[in-house]
Amino acid sequence: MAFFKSTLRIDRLARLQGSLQTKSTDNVRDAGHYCRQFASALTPVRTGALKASWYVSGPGSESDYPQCSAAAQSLNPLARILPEVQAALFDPTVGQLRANTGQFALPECIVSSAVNYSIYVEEGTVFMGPQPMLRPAVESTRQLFINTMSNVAADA
Amino acid sequence: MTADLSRVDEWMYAVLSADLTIATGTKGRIYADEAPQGTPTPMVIFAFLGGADRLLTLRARLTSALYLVRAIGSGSSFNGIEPIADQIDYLLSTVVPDRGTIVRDTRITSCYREQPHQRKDSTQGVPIVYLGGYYRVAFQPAVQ
Repeated sequence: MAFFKSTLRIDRLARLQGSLQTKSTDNVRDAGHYCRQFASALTPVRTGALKASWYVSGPGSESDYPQCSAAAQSLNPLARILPEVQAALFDPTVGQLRANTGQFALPECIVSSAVNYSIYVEEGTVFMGPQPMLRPAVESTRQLFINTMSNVAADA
Repeated sequence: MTADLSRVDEWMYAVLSADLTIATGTKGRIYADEAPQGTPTPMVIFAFLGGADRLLTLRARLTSALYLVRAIGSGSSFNGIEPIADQIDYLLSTVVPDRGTIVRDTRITSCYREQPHQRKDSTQGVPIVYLGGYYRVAFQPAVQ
């Protein structure tokens, strides 16, 4: 008596990996823009430059720094515009996550302000109380990001 | 539920002002958010920067708040305010016992430094130095 045995193998790992990467990138992008919007909503307005200066750099090669810095400069020509923040500048361990082109190799982004006086507003000075914008935004974004990222594997 | 941040402010002021090193080093100049115009340095300023609630039950929540606590001095050197900043860190890192500490109706459950802080800028041409840290303070209602 002869028996035939057939095995069907479907390699879905590659597709799963791609799906995870795409969904993670989407979540990082959403979180970055949510954080920027939140910070912008809390920003006190005199000229509007600070409010316009919040930008999101990443994920990948995406960045709205050129538009945001230009808008801030036009609203307040006296504002000193800071260069775009590079991940490796404030967190050396992130440097290894960049590709040879300098772009992020993993899904991540930076939310920052392009005007130099944002830190004085955020943290205050001796005689001026802080008006935090980015910190509350980060606090709010953190839980949202954790929730969405915890569903990435299930949705992939 | 209460406006519990004012309790945390009260606790932080009490902790800092009760310490001999800080009280003598600043001559009692300890402020929330900002100092009155013209106040001489050194001084200590603490400020709430942000926070998030985690709901435990319908009547209880655990709040995690971020405070910037720093010693401030005039000049370009950190040497003058270093002992004050050291003492701030020692106090805030050790003052909360394992069971927490109660301020009126709020139990402060932990306090630890999340990031160091060091900055230099100037006000009206006078250089100013800042030394301290970002402290994570967790608290919840004491009576449920």
